[in-house]
Amino acid sequence: MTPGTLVAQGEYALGSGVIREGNEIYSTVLGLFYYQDNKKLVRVVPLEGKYLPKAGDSVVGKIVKVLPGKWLVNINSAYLASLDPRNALYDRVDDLSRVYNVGDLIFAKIDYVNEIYDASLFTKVMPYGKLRGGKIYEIHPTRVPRLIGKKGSMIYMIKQGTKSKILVGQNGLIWATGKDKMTDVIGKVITIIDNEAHISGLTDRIKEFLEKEGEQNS
Amino acid sequence: MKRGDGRKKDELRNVRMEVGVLKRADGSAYVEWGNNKVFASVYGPREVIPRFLARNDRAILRCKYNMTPFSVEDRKRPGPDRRSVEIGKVTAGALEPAVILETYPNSMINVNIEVMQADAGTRCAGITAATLALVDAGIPMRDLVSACAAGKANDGIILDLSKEEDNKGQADIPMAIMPRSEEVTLLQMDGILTEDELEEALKLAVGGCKSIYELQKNALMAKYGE
Amino acid sequence: MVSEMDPIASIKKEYINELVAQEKREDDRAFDEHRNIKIIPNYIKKAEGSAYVELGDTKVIVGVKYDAGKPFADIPNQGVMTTSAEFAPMASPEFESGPPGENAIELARVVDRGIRESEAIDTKKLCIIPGEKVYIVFVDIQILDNCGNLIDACGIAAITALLTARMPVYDKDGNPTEEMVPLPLNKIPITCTMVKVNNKLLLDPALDEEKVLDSRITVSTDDDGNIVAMQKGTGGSFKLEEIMEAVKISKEQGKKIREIIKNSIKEEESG
Repeated sequence: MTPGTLVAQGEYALGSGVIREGNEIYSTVLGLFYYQDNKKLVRVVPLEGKYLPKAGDSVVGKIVKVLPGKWLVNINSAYLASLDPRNALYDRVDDLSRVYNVGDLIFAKIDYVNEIYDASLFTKVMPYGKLRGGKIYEIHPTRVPRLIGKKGSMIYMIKQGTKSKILVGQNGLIWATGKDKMTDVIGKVITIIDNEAHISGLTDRIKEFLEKEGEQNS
Repeated sequence: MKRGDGRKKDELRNVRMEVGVLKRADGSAYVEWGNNKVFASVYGPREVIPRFLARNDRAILRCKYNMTPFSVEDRKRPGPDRRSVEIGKVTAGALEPAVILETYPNSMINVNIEVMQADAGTRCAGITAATLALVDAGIPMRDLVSACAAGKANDGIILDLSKEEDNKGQADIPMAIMPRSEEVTLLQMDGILTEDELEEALKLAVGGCKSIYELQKNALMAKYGE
Repeated sequence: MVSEMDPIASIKKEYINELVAQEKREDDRAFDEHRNIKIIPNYIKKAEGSAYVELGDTKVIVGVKYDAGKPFADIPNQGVMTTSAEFAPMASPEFESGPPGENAIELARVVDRGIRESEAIDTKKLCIIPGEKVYIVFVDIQILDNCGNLIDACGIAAITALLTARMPVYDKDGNPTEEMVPLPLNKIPITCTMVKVNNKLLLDPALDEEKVLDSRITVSTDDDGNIVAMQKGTGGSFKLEEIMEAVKISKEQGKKIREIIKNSIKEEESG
């Protein structure tokens, strides 16, 4: 479905990816149309797009600046997020760069976002905090829900299949640590999901792929 | 009336489009329109530079149109000239009404159009490609923007002037519309036309834009193998 | 030309939208009425041609200078006209010194097209020696006070300045003589700009109307009522009918402005 396509007419609740003009509802993005019957909700789930910070999301980010009272973090979005020491530490620390320095990767929860997308982060409890070692992967942020799967089924299957620790950021950045061969497999799986998220039968293909790789590498 | 290349008066040149042709860009497209070869890329939404341009209620849209030195018969001096600056500005004006800029306050969207080969009609090809690149970048839009020129040559009102027709032409009207509402978002004209001729040309151009719209939709769907 | 930074713009927008809904404008003009036009032809004696123009409170000066130089390779027997605009910092708090920005470039090109495309200037008569020497006519626009609609003010000033311009006649060897002649002009093209505010077309927008516009359209017409150039500026959009309405308004207003220009030159000549 392309932007400007008529998706519905009449009284419906609007989800993301659609606008109302009078009685008509049009798609605003290239994506797949979904209709949620119980809420009379129409939405178009985009196939492309940058990450927009949302409270409650977990993200992988990179420290880009250490200011006197906070860290600025690139969260793979149009907007830099900030991390206040009170949301990161239990004790007062004078030199913030000794905790997280420029270039450090962190896993963080988005605590709060205002209307112009200034996001503040939170790293005080596990699994949040600094990411040491491991590998970083990228996926279109719009495909993250497919990577996680229904109730986490897909990511659970990948973790099991690769015997690795994986942290998925809603912002399309993924961190994993495990045996070298296994982290390569994770990279391949993520690429498959990135390219084929919109084609049905994805779970079966990933399952098959993991089994095949598991046999080769065992 | 016969045209130099055998086309009918309301017939487009061959147009081919492809979406997602560049890896680094957030969105991209390639349009081949007759002998025009045009790339468009979109970066963003991203941080606004310089900072003072930022708007709290919406994203800003900036367009750069450039012709490569080898795109025309005589080598063009590299870098922006006055024509390119103006086309960049009217292109931004043509795209802006369709882009839902309010989605991304305090950010910037950059559209870059690079003409690799120019053969009359590069701004329409550029706007057509830029629209595809915006959609490819996932930027929400009210509608696509589809562009096509009409004009007058050999005393006839015709669609999509070729280089030969443009050189000897009596008028050229590059135009872009949002096809759903037929609202005109790009309109320029030079030449000499009566009011009736102008009206005929505008209507012809709307038809051309709608044909381009169909090709744009197909190109977008093709990226996902549908 | 619209300042995004203006703090009063959003308040003004509501007010002007409301006025327009009541078929009114802040300065009591009709929707298709220009502000008062004042023209002083031959304002700059050092220039070959010139004009000072006031359009309401907007004030601009255009000077025409000429030079003799090489023609373009693809048109060896035609003279050249080139138009530039300078947004001097004195004219508006939004103007900064430095190379022309996109607004200044667009202004110069829209004014230029309005004249060039009408074929008002017989560029073949601007040839001195084919392939070697032609007249190069420089039209330089200087903004003094931007109170809205620079395009029309500059368009009026540019064509008036060209009408007053005198060029020396060259002899067979390509040397200038004492004899001076007017530029070979056979038409007076006029450029009219309208903005869409609250779905109405307003001719000759004042600064505040310009700041709250939804979209802008410029139409140039010649003495015979032909359309010779058009430009949609800024964002926003127009319906086809609105474009044709803009064309009609431009044709009508063009006639009036053409007379004002002719009269101002007649008056100046009679002293």
